[in-house]
Amino acid sequence: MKTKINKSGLKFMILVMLGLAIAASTVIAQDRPLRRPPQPPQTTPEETEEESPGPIIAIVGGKIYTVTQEIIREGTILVQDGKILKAGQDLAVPEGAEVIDAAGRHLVPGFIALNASRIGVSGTTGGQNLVQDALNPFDQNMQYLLGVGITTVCSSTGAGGQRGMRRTPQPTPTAPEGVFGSTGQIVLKMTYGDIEGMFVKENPFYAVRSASFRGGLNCFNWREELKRAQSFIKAQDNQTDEGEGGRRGQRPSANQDVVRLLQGEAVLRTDAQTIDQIRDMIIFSRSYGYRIILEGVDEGWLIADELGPAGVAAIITPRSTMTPQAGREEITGGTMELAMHLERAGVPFAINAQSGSVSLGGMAGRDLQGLPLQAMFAVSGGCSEKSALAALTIVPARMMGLQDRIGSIEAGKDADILILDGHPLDYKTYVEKALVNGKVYYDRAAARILPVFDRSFYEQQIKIDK
Amino acid sequence: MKIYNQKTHFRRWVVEIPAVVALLTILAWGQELKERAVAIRGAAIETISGGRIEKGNVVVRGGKIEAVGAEVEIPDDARVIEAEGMTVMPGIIDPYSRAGGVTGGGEFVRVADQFYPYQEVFKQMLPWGITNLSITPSSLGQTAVIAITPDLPKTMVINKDGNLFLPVTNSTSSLRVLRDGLALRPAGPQGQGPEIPTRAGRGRGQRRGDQTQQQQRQRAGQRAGQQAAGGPSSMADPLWAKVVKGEQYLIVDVANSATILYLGEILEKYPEVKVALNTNGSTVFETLETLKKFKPLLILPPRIENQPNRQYRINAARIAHEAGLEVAFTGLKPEAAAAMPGMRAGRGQRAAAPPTRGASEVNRDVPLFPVAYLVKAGLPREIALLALTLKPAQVMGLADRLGTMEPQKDANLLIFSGDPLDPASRLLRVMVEGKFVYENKN
Repeated sequence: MKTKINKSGLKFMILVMLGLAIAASTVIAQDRPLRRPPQPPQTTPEETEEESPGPIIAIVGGKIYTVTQEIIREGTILVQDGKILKAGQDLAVPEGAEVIDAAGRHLVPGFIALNASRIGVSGTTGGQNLVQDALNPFDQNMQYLLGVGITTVCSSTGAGGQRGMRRTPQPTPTAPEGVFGSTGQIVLKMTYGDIEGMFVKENPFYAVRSASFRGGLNCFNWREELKRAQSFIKAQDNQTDEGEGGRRGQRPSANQDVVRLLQGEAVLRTDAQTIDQIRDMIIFSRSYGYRIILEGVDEGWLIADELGPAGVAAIITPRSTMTPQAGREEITGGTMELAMHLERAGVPFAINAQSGSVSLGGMAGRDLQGLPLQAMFAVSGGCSEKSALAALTIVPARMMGLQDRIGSIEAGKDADILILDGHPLDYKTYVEKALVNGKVYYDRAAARILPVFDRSFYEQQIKIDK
Repeated sequence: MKIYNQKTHFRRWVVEIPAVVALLTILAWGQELKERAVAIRGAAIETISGGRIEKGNVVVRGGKIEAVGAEVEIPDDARVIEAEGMTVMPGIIDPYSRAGGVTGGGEFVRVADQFYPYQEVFKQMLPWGITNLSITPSSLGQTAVIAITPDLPKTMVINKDGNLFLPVTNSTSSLRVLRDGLALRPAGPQGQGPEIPTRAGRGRGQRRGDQTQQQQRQRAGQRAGQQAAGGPSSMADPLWAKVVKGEQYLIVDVANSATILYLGEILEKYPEVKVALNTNGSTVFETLETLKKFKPLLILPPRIENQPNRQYRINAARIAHEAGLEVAFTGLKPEAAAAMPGMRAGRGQRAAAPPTRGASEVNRDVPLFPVAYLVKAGLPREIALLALTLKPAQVMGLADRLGTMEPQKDANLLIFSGDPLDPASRLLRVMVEGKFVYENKN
């Protein structure tokens, strides 16, 4: 059976179709994002679902410390889907964007703490228990860290005394098992109350306790470990050269962490305080060609010129002091000017708090909440403000291999942004809001974990009284 | 011989057995006829299912409710209880109890196999108005539903095949039980290993390290598989099948708020699954947004709690109700009982010490005081009553038998001297399965 359509009906239908097409095209045009970063090819079926870009947040009118580039005065940051869309002056705020007024405020990238002890982790880790299943975003310490501007931490996952989630490579015959095993670390964002977006990376460093390298026997063992790894790599290369027919059975065993270290895929992180300890580490790293990050380096200011060429990166605690060694003729001991000396010698350095915990009692400024304060001490020791700020942001990001995600305010990076009521290195400054992954996770007035009062109100009162 | 045998068989099967069966049936019939009805006259009735009847009668016969209503006639043979001015409501049901000290141990604990009815604790529960309990193991297992009839210990268990119970913490080994169970992945000797969430890295950074870790995980999974192979896990498998189809509630005990986020992530994929979550108020307060997404039924203690890390008080039951979540109450006991050593709901429960005299003695017959407090603090009255009766019955899958004042349901009911939620009223009588098991003689 055929349906007959007369002429007027046909015209009407064409008109309707045309109208629909126009309407659809306008709707599509409106939906199109302003600027969409190029998306990498997606493979898994879960991710192939087309996600429409989310709403835009505009942080307007603040002084933006990009860290990697110039300071932008009265700038605007556009944030979308957890990433920074654009940062600059005279940016048009798109219609419908949520505006956060930051006039007179200072905007800096979220700070990064390189040592934290089990912050945001509450379940059991180790063995078959993965750290991804042990996160606890309701750890209140996370709020305290956000309160001082720390948005990312490198947290150790081992509980006191345990080796934590050490990676177990093959044990080696000479070295006692685990001497050179890495202590587990995990990079987490302080997304208080959300698991999504909290986990960033596991084991960014090959972290070994310095005790593993102390003394002649340990140094010998370390050298043996390195040699085994070298022959392992050599055998591997030969095998790939020979293709499928390579001799499989005769591959020497080696600590896979050390292999990764020698192949440049990992960085050794350990602590070294005295000149001798620092030099030992440099000699090892230079003769076997691996990268090192040294923590502490209290006497590093005396041999700063050696550190630069050796490719050492340092993690320092500016408030840490060290008494000169008795009976040594040369100058020894620590100084608050360490950061300045490292800066002049071109040694990249990150700043660490004295302890990796959050303490609510006793003297303030020693725990993780004192991290920005440490940077201020570096400045009072002669370091430039720019380097001190970089030591809290982009330098630790580079150390963990996360420089394309965090550590500065640039288009395409994660929107981990602090809105401060003063200069980032001023002791009077409070964090007003902290954004992590483009979401406000800390609002000083709402969180109420630090005392809230309006300074300007008191200042006005004083004026009136006068 | 053969012929003779056949004849005997014929006689046994066709004549003798039917005769005996008929006799027994007649006897049983007579027994039921003989059983006198009990009638409660002139009381206010909280029917739960059909609102409140200001003045009506309840007729109970043979352990069941025969009739409820304002116009119900009282049979001639009934023993009548004058209840003018009193209130009748269904017995209180606790959907999550560790009473009786069922121990964990083993990989799968079936409460019905371990239940020991001769315990003082059940007698002590009678003045609290609790008539039914779902007894929960302390580790993975199956609950059992009991009626509190200490005088009839052999028939206390009314449902041996209860719900699947699972304690969950935020650790891989614990979450794996849930992930594997919902995926109906048999924990056979092959042990396919757990499905590891790929939230990590998403291909960023670690390459070689990832490989070794994956291998490690596979090995770990194989180990776990080997451990679980064989017996106990096969007892859980049919229960998981029921849970996945949504035929039965899965009862989950969560360790902390973080676990609820993991739970939400896992259950997102199984919209059919019905979960009853045993938790507390501050956890609900913290995770409300996640709870709204997977909508579990919350098993909460009836008390005002503090906001986490704050001094502000919260009425979690009200918050949950206003967020569209169902609530059932657990651990209801008068203040006196809560103060008694060894009576806390939790692990390692022992027989309770005898109640001390004094102020606590007075509170004993006002069992609903904590609930009344929540109602005063804004929880709707009918929701509070539901949370004590019908919601727990739903969790147990016994809503057709318990939880309301309707004909043909079990005659488990409480008689209060006035409004059950008025602190001035006293619990006077408790009836379980048609028999009065407690009478307040004070």
